[in-house]
Amino acid sequence: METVLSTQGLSKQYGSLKAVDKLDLVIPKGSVFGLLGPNGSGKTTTLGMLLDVIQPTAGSYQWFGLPAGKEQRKRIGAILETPVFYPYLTARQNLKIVALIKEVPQTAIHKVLDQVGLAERQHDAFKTYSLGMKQRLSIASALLCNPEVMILDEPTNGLDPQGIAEIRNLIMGIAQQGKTIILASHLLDEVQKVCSDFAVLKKGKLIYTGKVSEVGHQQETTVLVQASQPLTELLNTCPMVVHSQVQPHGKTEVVLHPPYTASDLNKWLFEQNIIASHLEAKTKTLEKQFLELLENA
Amino acid sequence: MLRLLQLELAKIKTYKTFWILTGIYLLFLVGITSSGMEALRWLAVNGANLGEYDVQKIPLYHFPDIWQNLTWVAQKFKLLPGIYIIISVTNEFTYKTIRQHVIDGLSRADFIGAKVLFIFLISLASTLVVLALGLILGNLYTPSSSPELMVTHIEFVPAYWLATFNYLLLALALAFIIKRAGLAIVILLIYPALEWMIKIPLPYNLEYLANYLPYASLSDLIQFPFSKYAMMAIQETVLPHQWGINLAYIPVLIGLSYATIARKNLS
Repeated sequence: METVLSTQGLSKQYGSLKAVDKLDLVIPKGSVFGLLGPNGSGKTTTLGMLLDVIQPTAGSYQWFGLPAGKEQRKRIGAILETPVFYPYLTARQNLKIVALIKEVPQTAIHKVLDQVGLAERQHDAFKTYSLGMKQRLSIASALLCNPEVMILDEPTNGLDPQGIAEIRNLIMGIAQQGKTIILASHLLDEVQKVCSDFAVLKKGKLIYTGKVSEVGHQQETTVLVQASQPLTELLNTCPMVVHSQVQPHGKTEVVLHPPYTASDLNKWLFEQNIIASHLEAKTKTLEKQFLELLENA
Repeated sequence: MLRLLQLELAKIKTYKTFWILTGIYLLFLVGITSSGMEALRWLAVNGANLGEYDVQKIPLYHFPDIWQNLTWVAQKFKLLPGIYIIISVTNEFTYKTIRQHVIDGLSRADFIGAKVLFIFLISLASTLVVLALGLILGNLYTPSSSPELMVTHIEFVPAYWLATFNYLLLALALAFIIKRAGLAIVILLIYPALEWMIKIPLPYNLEYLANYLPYASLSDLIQFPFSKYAMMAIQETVLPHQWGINLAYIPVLIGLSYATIARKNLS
């Protein structure tokens, strides 16, 4: 497995506050990596250190197996926080500056402006753009160097549903080209939809890292059942069941020991001569696991 | 290097503030420095003639006097490009473009380098304007000019470049240290007085040290020339120690700017 980014003991301390605490992270090539954590958990500080705008207190990192440096950053497309451009310059002039920094030919500019639908407004000053257009220019700027890695910090912050969908499609599209994406977010639903791997930060510490597809594996399954008679007493005698509880809407929530599934429960109920009128296996959400992780850490 | 200069030039292409300041600067540089004879005529009319002496006969624009006269007047307008240098740096902090540049793949040293190259270009352009003015006015006014006479004391022209370059580097350092346009411009304006005030607490025998501060040093390159027309002794040429100290200030001032962002967080 090729590695795009690895960090060793990366730390940042602000006075007595440990914003990032001995972070060891490995991001495989081609993954869509979600960096999760509540506000203030150190996501943005981490990205800032990886892009050399925040000086680490300790630790090191390598992009593409190479020590940190400006040449590595030229191969990365990053969108952090709000779009940053010269207000008095046009979209094209602003991208020319980015092209000069990243040492990519000016010919790349038209393509990315087209890609984000700004070709028509390219000769207007940045300050005349709407928020959505500014965001799209950020994306164009990040795409300009045909990046091997794309870093997005809360990319859907402040966007309307259409904008969120656009960004999501864009992320998926880039991921399909085999590129690596690092996505910092507190929107778990977002991460579950687009990411292949994820890591959870809490108060600057890495408390979990794994694959999104493995979320909920080897763990208890929750099933909602409903029948014409009360079930809790009977269910609590079942060896598969951890516990059961009647929910306000009348259905009973049953938690099963692994590796039992909803069909095992249905079979067992049938053997007890009970026919379930409703049986619903609840997939474990990232949100639930995330909250559990934060609680247990 | 060319890429870094292109980067700076791309930022000013449609930046009105820059072009307005440049326009005013050129107007002063060309207009005021070349109207010396008009000024003398005005003095004569207003009775400033010194006894029998006709002020209109003062050879302001004669080779070789012209080089020191012209460069001394021309350097009085360097505040204008100085203001622009400050704005060009503080803008990068206000717009957060310095942070974005680093994210995109510029090193902090590159960032300073681009600004220094831009300052070099401005000071060079200003020097070429003064050189052209000197050649034109000198040939217009000098009764009998010769190639040797034309280049006599032309060392004041490179000295003008050095004084301008160092002044703009000083403005650059102030901008990086202060990071706010308004305050940095005010400090630049009163900076000569600040250096002068450093003298006050110094013991009498150490006061001379204040003459080696950056502004005092760059002002010393071209000293007030017109007292020679009142038969007073003035600076003959630019001396090696004057070149030396001002050249030494180049790395110091650039280093000072760099120190404000090296190993610092950019927010």
